[in-house]
Amino acid sequence: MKPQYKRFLEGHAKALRAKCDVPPFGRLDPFELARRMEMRVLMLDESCGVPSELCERLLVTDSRAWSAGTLNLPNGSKLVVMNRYHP
Amino acid sequence: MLSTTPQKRISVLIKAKRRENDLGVRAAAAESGVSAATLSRLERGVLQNLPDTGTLTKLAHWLGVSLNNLLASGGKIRGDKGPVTTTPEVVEVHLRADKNLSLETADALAKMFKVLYDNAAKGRTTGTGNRR
Repeated sequence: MKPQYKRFLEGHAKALRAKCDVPPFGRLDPFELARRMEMRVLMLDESCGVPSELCERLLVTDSRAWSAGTLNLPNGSKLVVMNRYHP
Repeated sequence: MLSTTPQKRISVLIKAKRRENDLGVRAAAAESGVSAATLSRLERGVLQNLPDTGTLTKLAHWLGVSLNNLLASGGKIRGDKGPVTTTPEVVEVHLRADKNLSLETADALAKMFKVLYDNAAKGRTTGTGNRR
C-alpha cells in the first residue's frame, strides 16, 4: 500500500470516528456509522421481500460466496444487505 | 432468434451491426468507442470472459440494446427498449464481471438486488435491520 494512500485512509478513518463521537483509537461500530450516515442495513431473509428460493440459494448454497453488498436506491439513499451466514 | 451465451450473442450483434451499416472494424471502433482489438476479439468470440463494465456499456449503447439484453444467456431479444442503464442493470454487469463469483451466484445476487431496488422504488420497507 502506498504511503499517501495509507495516510488518506487513516485521515478518513479519523474523520469517521469523529463523526460517531469515537476517540481516535476507539472501536468504531459499523452499524452506528451506517445509522449516522443514514444508510439502511438489512440482514437478508424472506422478510426483505426476496423470494424464498432465492434466499435459500444465497444463504445456503452460495452462503460462502458473498458477505454483503451496497445498493444505491432510487431516492438517493444507500442500502447495505448482509449475509448473516458468511463466515 | 439469438439463443446463445452472452459472448456469442455479442458476437452476432456486432457482426450484424457492422454488416448492416457496412462498417469496417476500425470505423465500428471509432463509432462505438471500443478499441478495434477488443471489438474484433468480441466479434470472433475468442474472449472467454466478458469485457469490463465501461466497454459493455459503450457496446450496448452502440448496438442499441440494453445491458440486460446484451448479457442475456438465452432466448431472443424481446421488447428491447434500447440502451436503458438502470441501477440493477449496472449492478448485474458488475456482478457478472466479478471473477470470484460463479455465473449462477452472480445471477442470484443480481436478482436479489433487483427485488430490493424495485421494492424500494415502490416504497416498501421490509426486512431485518438496522442492527445485528
